Amino acid sequence: MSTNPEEFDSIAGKEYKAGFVTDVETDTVPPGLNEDVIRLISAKKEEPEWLLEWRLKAYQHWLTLEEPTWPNVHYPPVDFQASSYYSAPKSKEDAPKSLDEVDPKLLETYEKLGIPLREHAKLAGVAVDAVFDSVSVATTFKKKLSDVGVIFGSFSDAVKNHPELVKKYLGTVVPITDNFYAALNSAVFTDGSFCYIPKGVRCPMELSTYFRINASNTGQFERTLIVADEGSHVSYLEGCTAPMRDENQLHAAVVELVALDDSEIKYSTVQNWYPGDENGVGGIYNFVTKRADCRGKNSKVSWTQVETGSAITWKYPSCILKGENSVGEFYSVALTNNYQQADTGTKMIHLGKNTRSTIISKGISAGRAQNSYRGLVKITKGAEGSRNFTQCDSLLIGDKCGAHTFPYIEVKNQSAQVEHEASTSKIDEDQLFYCRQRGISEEDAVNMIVNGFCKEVFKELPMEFAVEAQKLLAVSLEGAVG
Amino acid sequence: MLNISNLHVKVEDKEILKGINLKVNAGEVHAIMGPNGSGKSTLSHVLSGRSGYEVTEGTVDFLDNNLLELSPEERAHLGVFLAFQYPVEIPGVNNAYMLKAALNAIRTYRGEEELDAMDFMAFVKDKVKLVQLKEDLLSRSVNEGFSGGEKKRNEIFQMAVLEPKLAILDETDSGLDIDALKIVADGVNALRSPERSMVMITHYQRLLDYIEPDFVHVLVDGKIIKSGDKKLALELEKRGYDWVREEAA
Amino acid sequence: MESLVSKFEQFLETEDNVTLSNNSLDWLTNARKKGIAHFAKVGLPTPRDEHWKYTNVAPIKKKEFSLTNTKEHDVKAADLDVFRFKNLETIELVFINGLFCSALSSTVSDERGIVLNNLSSWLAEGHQQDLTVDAGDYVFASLNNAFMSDGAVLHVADNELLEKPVHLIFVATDTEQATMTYPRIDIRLGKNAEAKLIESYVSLGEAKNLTNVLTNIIADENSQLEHYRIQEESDAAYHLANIFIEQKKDSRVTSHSVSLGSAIARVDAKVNLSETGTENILNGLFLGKGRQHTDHHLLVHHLSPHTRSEEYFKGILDNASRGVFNGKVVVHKDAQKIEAIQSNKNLLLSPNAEVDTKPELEIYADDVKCAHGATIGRLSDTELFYLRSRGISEEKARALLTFAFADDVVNRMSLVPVREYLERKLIGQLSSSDQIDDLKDLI
Repeated sequence: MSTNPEEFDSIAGKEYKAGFVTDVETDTVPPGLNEDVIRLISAKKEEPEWLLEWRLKAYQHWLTLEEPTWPNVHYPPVDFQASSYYSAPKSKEDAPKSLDEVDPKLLETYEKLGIPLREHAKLAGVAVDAVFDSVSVATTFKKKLSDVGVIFGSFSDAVKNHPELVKKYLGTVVPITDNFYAALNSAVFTDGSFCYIPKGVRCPMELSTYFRINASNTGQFERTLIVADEGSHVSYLEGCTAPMRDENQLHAAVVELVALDDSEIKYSTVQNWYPGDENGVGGIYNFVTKRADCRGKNSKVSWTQVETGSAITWKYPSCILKGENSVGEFYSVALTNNYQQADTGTKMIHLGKNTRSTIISKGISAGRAQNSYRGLVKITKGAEGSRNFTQCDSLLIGDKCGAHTFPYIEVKNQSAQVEHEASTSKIDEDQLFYCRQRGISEEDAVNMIVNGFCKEVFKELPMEFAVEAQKLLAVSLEGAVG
Repeated sequence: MLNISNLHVKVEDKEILKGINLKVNAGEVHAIMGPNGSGKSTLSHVLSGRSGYEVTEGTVDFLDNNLLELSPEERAHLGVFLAFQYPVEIPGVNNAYMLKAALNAIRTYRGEEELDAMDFMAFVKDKVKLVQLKEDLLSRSVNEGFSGGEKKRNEIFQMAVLEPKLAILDETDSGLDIDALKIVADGVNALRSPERSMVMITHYQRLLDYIEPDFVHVLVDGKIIKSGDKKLALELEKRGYDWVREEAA
Repeated sequence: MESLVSKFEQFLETEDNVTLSNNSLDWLTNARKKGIAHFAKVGLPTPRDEHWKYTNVAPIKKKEFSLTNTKEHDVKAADLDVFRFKNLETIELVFINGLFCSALSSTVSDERGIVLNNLSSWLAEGHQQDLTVDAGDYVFASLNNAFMSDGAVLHVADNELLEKPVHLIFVATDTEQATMTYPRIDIRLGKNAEAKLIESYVSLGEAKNLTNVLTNIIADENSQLEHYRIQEESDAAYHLANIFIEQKKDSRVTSHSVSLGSAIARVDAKVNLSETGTENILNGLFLGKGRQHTDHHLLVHHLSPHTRSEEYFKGILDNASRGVFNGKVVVHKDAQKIEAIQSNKNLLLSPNAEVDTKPELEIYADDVKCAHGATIGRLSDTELFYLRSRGISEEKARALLTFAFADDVVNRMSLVPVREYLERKLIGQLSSSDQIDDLKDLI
């Protein structure tokens, strides 16, 4: 990571002295969801009336919806009245008091991923004194960003400081009526990130630089909104390669991206939430709605994701290609091991003329995991001259896992060109033997071949994350061989 | 160095090798010739530890190790190298990266320090010239998009880098035109040394014009039925295999 | 269609049906009751049903079709010449508006154990064999169970080879009241048996009929069947078909489906590769013009190791037509050493045409080689340019390339006379095909 450690420490220390984390800790709302809870959340966050009304509307709509059952995943029903909808950050009482109380396996993984020691405690959720927080660390970077007019910070801050921008774009890509989890998120989201890149500005840094710290404790209902104004450019990385300890079983985030004329958003995700143990006990349910609206002509949105975590993943980062010549890309590696289940893919909705989309999906299934690709490519009547290329490959390691492909392709325009290719096969014995004959251990050989399989996706990630992602695959595949 | 004694091997219940005896001393080059289906490739696969072969009888001793007990990578660490008849393509895996991982695994076994990327590239620079391999092939995926000749040269190049004690060349000459064959043979000859043994498996006498063997063995129907020197190969070329069969019978 | 449930009792009383079940066969009575019960429960599918997302049968729902068909017709043998294959001797069974026409048909019943007959005659002969077909979730198969009235039986005993291909011709005429027919085709091949069978669905005049056919194929050990269905009913007709194939050890079944006619055509094929060494090939070609809607839904279950399947479908959609393809391959747990190939390529010839394709794989075993591909597009500019640069007019070049695109599927058929028949059809059907009329001489 490019942050210099000294800088890190000094910021963190300073913030602690300022006594940043105080009163929120005791604020926990009793379990259950009703209008009063939503009013309370909104009041705590000192939100304007319009936002409260928006939340309530979402809640009313959510009540009319049923939990979706079409994904190819299986889990016991979630009791939405048993959760507390305002409990983040988690109370220190439940957290381990020191690293000694943390599962040694977790620490071992941090070692393997090369994560700096000082971050271990934070990631493991230890109630250490120096608590990093997005708002605090942000200040240094904010200066650099505000010099060029980039607004970047927590969603709550944005609501306070830039209500007009939030109001203008919130819910315009993923409306409150979109789906069960999006409606729920809209009603009860606690925080998240907001980013606005003004006209013609190329964001001077990857908005990922301190995200490893920023990403933790944002709560189970995260809301992200990124707006790239005309001619701007931004690269954003969400998540982190370290498996994070999290008490929240259900995560239902919403991410909205808006790309105006000639702008470009590159959104990269490394998702490594707790997948549960080897026997499939525990683990996060990750039900996410991510969508980009390529509103402007020549706009471009690129989703890159490396998904190795969560017990259940259910996510389809999508692009609505409205603007003429707009471009949507989806590069994905989804690895499932042990008892993990993933149903993930993308939707490319071609509305504008000469819109183009590319989908490269690599699924790896090991252990007893089930990995599904689900995608939609839709070329509407007006999408003259549009193109899509999809390649979707699955690799199977072991004879107890499954790999599934459900591509929907709907074409209503004669001038479109759509190509879809997919393959499923097990890891090649000849390749394995070749590497081993050269002296490489079986486990390393498997990692090497799997990484080779994913290369087309990794090359889309920012350099340092590509390296981390490779290590992550190796760690996630442990125990899958032999 | 290598001592194969009464080796019997089955593939899916069919006996392919029926009692192979072969002794290879340090520095020697042995050629194994034989018609199609005689068991030549099975021998190379069994020596290098490929799965799918059942050894029913016999032993293979390599530098005082029971070779048959070891995994493919352990054999490689000891210095067994197989130049594949059909080198496999591995998409997305960088050729140089794979080789560096292999070299470092072997160096670690030998108690030598691992090479970093810089040292490794310096180390392989000369080796590349040995077989006139285009340098850009190094940064490509393993064997992907290589021509037939390039694949075979890549095998010899890897051998040069990994510096094995025993090199098994499985039909390294097949599919090569005469110019490519010369390049490969020159590479192999440059790697001959008193400490390194080679077993060449081939169909054609032609290869032996360029890499002169110390011994020639005739493998027919899972058995070595005749051994001799280079002259035997010439005779095989002229008279085919039938007379050896008859003689043995 | 909506009134089908109420018509059921009445149907059981009709003369035709009495003939069909006068042996008071339990299996038949049960199949009928179970079939109507399933339909009564679920009704006709709607686009809310995942398997009917792209095919709306509402137009059928509103229409009234008569179940009782008149035996009277004025079809002569010569009227059917246009549907026969030149230079191919077949054994022909003809059905007119659902009813068997013995005058135009021949049957087989030889001592070697080969039986080819129409269903009602076969039942009338007193056969007790249970021909029950489990319709599963397929509601039109359930309806066929409920209302099956006639059809064909082809049973080939162990080690027997039926040399001549069987040709079943289902003719619909332009009757005053639109009719609906429920033919049942039952094909059983014994061990090492071989046969070829062609189903043709044709119309004389603007027939507005509905065909709901169920073909049940059981291929025993090491048997071999080549099955064809050529559907060229009138543009006012509705065609619904289910093909169920059950394959035993080392059997090979190839089924070609050519869909040229009907306002709405839906073909559901379900294949069970139940034992090792089986191979199944499904080839298909669908041509849409006007407002035609053609839908192929394939489901192949690999239930045993060392099984192989291939799906090869092409669609050409013109005017405001719509083509749907859904191919699904399921590799079940412990079914190792599987090869499955799936391909669907489509050409859109008009700005108002539409294609929806969904090639699915569901894999629960690891030693598999599965690949699928789907493309949708127009003719290749490079190929067009190449032909034009050789002096061929653009219009002709388009016709040639479109023909070649379709002919690729036709060429996968082993019966050359059937290929030639279809090639002539293609030339007649493809837009601007008058440009390549001269190709006819070359076929």
